Amino acid sequence: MVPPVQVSPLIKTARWSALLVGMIYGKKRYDYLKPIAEEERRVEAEEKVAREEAERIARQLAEASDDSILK
Amino acid sequence: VLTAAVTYSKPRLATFWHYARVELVPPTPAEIPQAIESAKGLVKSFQAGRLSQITVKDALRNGLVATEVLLWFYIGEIIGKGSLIGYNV
Repeated sequence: MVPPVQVSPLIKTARWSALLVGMIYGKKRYDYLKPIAEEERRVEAEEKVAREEAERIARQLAEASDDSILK
Repeated sequence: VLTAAVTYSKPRLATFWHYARVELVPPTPAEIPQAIESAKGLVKSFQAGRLSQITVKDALRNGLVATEVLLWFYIGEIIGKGSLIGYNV
């Protein structure tokens, strides 16, 4: 087996600091995105309720006004 | 199947540790000033115009090392956001 190479200290510090910075960045961005997604979900749920109500009314009107004999 | 996986991975784990103990170790507090020194030396050499004297082979090697350092940033981001692909909000 090839003996392990002595990595230069610059590369070692760069690697581990990049790891640390990456972890902090990931955590911060996650905390930033989470409330935005919850807000979107809430808005979507409200609009869904309103939309289904409108669809129901439209469907009832269509049923009442079409010329089928199967009523 | 579990015992087979363990017996398969033991020697490979041993070789991984054999290299990782020397190569992947975080820098000791004594090495951090050395790292800053060599970073300063890098900047100075680029100011002295050594950029025109690097061989392509050296440039490619340094580019690969730089890419690997950036790779660790993305690994850190995966750990920080707690999921492999995308943010689970």
